[in-house]
Amino acid sequence: MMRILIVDDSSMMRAMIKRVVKLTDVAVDEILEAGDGAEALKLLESNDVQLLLTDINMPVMNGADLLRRVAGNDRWRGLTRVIISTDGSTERREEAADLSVRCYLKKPFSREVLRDVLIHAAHAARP
Amino acid sequence: MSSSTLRTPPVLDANGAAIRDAVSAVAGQSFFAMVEDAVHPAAAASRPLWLFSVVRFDNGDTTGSLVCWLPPGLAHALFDSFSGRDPSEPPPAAHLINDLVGEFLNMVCGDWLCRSRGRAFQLSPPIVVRAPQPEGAGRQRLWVKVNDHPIAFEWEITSASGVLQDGR
Repeated sequence: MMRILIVDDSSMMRAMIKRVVKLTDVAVDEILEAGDGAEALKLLESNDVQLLLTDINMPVMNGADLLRRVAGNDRWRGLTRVIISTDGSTERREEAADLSVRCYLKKPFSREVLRDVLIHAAHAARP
Repeated sequence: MSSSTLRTPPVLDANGAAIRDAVSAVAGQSFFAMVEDAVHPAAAASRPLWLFSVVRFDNGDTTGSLVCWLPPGLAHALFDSFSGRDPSEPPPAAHLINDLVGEFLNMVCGDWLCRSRGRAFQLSPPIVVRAPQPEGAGRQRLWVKVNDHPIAFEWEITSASGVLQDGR
């Protein structure tokens, strides 16, 4: 069982990801949601999260800054990180690799691709 | 045959073609929707209110914006495709429709920028309001049909190193 945190400023996108998670056979204790990186950090500090799914372009604190903060804290060394973003540029993908991101999913994507990424990431994140 | 079907869609420049390809990718992959080339609808006596959205982008040496107008009926259909809402369920709240329209434009803009060049970019949070249906064509306006509904895009490059500006 695991706890997943979905970070995206679009409530529609969060709801869609959440629904696809529920369609997989991945055993999940709880799915947490945040609308930006700052909210996500607060949730990470107060919850034991195994899998982080984050957008990049968000207000207040973007996903790249969130991932830098996560990478800089030993407490989250075991946290599996996945980016789900419209920005599929080579520059952003290289930056993600430096921040120990396990999967990079570019929007738009089909539900089947998202499901496969989630299953792969969830296996890696299994506590 | 209506007069609109006799008109030929204008030849697109590289940005227009890349945006059309981005719309096809987003509509097809995330909304199960079909995209066709289109011409602007004939002028009407009254212009209904559509959903107008705008997103600004910045990739360091290029900034600009992409806007979209789409009819409310299409927005609701896209919402149902994206969310899996059953038509028998209560209709979605206006803020959820706006969120969906903003995310649609966000994905189109991101896909266009990825097609045009490989640099990382920032997108502003989309703004979505009601505005009259646009009229006519324009040099930087693209009309397409999504599931047979006309929608329009317009782009603006406010500074550039040349790559997006000339569309290469």
